[in-house]
Amino acid sequence: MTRFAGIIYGFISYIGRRKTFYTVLGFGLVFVFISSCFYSENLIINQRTIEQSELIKIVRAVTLYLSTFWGMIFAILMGMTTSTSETDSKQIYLVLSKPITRAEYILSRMFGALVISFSIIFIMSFLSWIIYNLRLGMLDLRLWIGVGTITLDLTLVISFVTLISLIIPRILAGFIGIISYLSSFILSIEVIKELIFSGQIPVHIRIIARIIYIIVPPFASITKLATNLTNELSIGQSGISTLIHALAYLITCLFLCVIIFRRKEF
Amino acid sequence: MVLYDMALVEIDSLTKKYGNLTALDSFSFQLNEGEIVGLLGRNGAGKTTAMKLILDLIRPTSGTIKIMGKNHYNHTMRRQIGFLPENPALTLHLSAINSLNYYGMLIGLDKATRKKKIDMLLNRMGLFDYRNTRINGFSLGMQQRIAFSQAVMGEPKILILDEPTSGLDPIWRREIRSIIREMTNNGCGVFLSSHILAEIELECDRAIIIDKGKVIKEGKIDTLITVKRQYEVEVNHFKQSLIKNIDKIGRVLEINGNKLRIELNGGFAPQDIIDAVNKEGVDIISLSSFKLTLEEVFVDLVKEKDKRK
Repeated sequence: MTRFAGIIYGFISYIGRRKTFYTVLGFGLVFVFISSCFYSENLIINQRTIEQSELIKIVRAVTLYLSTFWGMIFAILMGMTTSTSETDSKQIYLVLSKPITRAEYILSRMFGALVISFSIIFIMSFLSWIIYNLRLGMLDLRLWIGVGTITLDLTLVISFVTLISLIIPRILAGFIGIISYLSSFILSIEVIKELIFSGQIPVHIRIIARIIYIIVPPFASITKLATNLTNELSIGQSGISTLIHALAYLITCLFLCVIIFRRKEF
Repeated sequence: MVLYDMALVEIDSLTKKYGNLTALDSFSFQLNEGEIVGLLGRNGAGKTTAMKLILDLIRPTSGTIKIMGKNHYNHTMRRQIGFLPENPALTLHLSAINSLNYYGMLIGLDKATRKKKIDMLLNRMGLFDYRNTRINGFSLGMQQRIAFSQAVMGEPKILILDEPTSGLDPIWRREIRSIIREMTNNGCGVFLSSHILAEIELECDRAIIIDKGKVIKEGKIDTLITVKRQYEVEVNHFKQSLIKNIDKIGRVLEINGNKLRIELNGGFAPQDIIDAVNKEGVDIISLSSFKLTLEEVFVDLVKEKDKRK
């Protein structure tokens, strides 16, 4: 346990000294603050003024998507750093000469990255939560169900980018992380999803589309799941399939990370 | 003080290849309790490769490594090893105390032990007053002292040191040497690589000279530096006739004032030198085996190997 804590401490203290962390967090907070101040209680959608219960759902969704987006950017940066920062600086010689396993090392580093990325989402969500609760004069705790669910998203991003960075240079890994994140948004759009799983397109294109659907991590689907869970307190059939897809993806990524890292030479 | 009847490190026919390049070729060696073994070689000779293999940072192409009788892949065995790499990359963003705390956590020391050890090491290394200063503000010598501290922090049974005194002034070199001696007196085995050959000559019990991944010579320091059948004789008064007498049992290689370097022929012993000198009515002040410095031995061996190629 001490060794596990040691690796996490080393990683968090390293990131804590980086200006990037505070820059991303600072911009995120400004972004959240501005967006939280500008929504209107008299929001009009389709020429009708919406009720407060509907408004709060929109505000929750906006808050979750905004903090997740920012947290995801940071998680991609973290994933790029998890396996490479100590390797590049050769600090890894001193670390791996201690009685720790390679699996312990890489998993602890990923956990450290998760803690840092989650702290970004938490701080941003907290600021937004304070503002909208004050403005609407209420105490809404359901947002935190969504924030908790987003942890799965962060874990998936970190393990996915870490895995890629173990195979190819970290800059490329980060780029693939961003592309995958954007692709997951496109694939989570209902119309596209329906198209992939219906018979409206030729078979060979459908097979390719399904393969892409499986290969691209379900980042956006988890965010969507978190929003549904917060607003409706249920996940539904598609939520269950998203969860299964995400967990299968996560376990595969973690397993491959450990296998590849164990075989690495320094 | 021998507590353990098995070799601390036992390497058998270790080979490491990178594609067509053989970094280490059938390297075998043993490190025993309380022993300091020096590893000498040119840049790229395979010294660091050998150290990395012991620590499982790289994997051997063939051969086996045993740490205290167990396979070196077993990560718990690294609890018994302290490692100081050449030009160690430390956690520069941390203060001296936090950095050592970090390494202590990685070793698995509990909080109380860490505190005790850190205070003791910072005091001994003359860094206590700088304990809250970040390492990136330290001089090279101070960083080296922190790096050495993390290596000895867990009281290892095996110390692997790559250029341990690099960047240190003579006072701290002496202090590091004294700590190493204290540890070997308590049964620790030390595997040391240094370009300062005088240091190896002074500190090590045995030395292994490697070149291009192969062991070209190994043995006790005294055996390595002693030239077989050559003796240095100091007489009270030099006479030309001495040479004639000595020619019967060997030959004079060098004359320097009253000092003669003599090479004996087979079948003759140092006593024959005494007899040959005394026969001329000359007294011997001293007679000793002729010794080279480790540096001379090393340079000769490497040159000889290059010439053969």
